[in-house]
Amino acid sequence: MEKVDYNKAIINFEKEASTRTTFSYDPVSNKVYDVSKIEESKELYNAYGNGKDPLYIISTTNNITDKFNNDTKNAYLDLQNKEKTPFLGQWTSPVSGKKFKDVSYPDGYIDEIEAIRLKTLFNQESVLRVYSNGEWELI
Amino acid sequence: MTQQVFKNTFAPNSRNKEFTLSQIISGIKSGVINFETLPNNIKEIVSIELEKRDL
Repeated sequence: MEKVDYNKAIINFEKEASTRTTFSYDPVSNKVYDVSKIEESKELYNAYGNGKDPLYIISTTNNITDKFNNDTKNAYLDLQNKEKTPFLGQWTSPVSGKKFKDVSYPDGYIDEIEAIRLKTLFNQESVLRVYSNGEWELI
Repeated sequence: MTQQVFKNTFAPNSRNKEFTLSQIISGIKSGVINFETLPNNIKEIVSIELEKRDL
């Protein structure tokens, strides 16, 4: 599995961040996904789904700052060590306008029980489930 | 405590028939839910929760 250096991934991420508010960035394909758009959601599924079962997107950080930091770096490297493909993401609070940077990853080879276990493990409120037709669900 | 749920009238590509407040916030964070498309009453509830969390 291809691994992109963390610092290089951040440099490429920041190029996208200058023109976007909320997005997920895949350093391996150097591609941005906006899953609210059904075509991009399908593309994400086609890239990481197993062709049959739903794909899960699991966030692994809850960064409350606008900077990538040691937590995001550790999360990124930890996922790479587990042969997963870390994504870098940014979301913008509609209330404060602040931007927050987090790490997530796609996994097309787990079931709902495992997805929920990971949600708890990473202290997340939801896991995103993406279907092959581009529809999605928060569980 | 029973969590308040909101009927999904704002995310047509979602299979969720309804969302909890946590799910809506999580959806905003992951970019699948656009705050601007939420009904005004939900916007207000989400805003209060985000302020409470200092986000």
